[in-house]
Amino acid sequence: MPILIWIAENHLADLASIAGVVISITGFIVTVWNVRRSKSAAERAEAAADQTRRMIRGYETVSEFSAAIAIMEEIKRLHRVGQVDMLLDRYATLRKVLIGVRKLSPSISENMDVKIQSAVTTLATMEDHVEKSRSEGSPPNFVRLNRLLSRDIDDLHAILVDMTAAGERESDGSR
Amino acid sequence: MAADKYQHLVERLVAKTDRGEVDWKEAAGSDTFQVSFANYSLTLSVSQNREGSTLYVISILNSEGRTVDSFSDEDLDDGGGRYYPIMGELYHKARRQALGVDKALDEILGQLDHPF
Repeated sequence: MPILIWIAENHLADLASIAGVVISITGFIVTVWNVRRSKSAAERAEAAADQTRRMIRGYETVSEFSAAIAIMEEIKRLHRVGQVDMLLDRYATLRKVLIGVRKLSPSISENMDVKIQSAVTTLATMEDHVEKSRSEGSPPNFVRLNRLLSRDIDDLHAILVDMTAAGERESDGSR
Repeated sequence: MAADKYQHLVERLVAKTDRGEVDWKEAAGSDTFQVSFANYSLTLSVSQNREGSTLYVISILNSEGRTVDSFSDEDLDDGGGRYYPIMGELYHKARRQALGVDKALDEILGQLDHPF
């Protein structure tokens, strides 16, 4: 067979073997490069998704915080008019909102955590105090209770401002 | 066992209050003061036992504001009465800090010593 003789004389089998090795190595390099490229793209996508999740959570936290402060202001108004029955419901609602805020934002600083815990405690002792006064038939000192609420509103408002500023910084950083 | 922990807690609170490392605040209950940490709070209040004697009561509140435990100076003493003055002193220090008594006195004294 002349073609087989020609192939043998020109060492085409060796050349094909060398070419095969070169192609295999090139293919391997291209595959590794593609894998790394898709991995870094996936990582970037995951990081972006994480950041979006954090931002959404941040907006939700700020919104819940604003709701908590609004309820506190409402409680102060109810204190002024001595609406005890409605108050007890509002205390419970506010406590739930504040507990929810802490669960929504696990990354808040310890100082913020302490301030929220302090507000929850004020509220719990307030609820207890108003319940006791109600059962004893003596009106609680609402002026004093409003002073304590104002103190906690100031603390929570400071946290809200810090959170909003942090959210804006994060949002600017992601652009 | 629990009494040991309560005693330890009171002693640490006294030391930290003396060094101004805990932030006592007024609580809603009358004659009650509170100090908060990241997940728990303590309230310190004055009460009376069945015989009408003064009791100092510390309550532990969890992150939901529920009282999970409370004890008084009587629970720590085993009849010795050692913790009554300690908790009484702690109560008065907490009160002074929460109401800002020392801060007010320092400022007034400062202005008296260095008038305009």
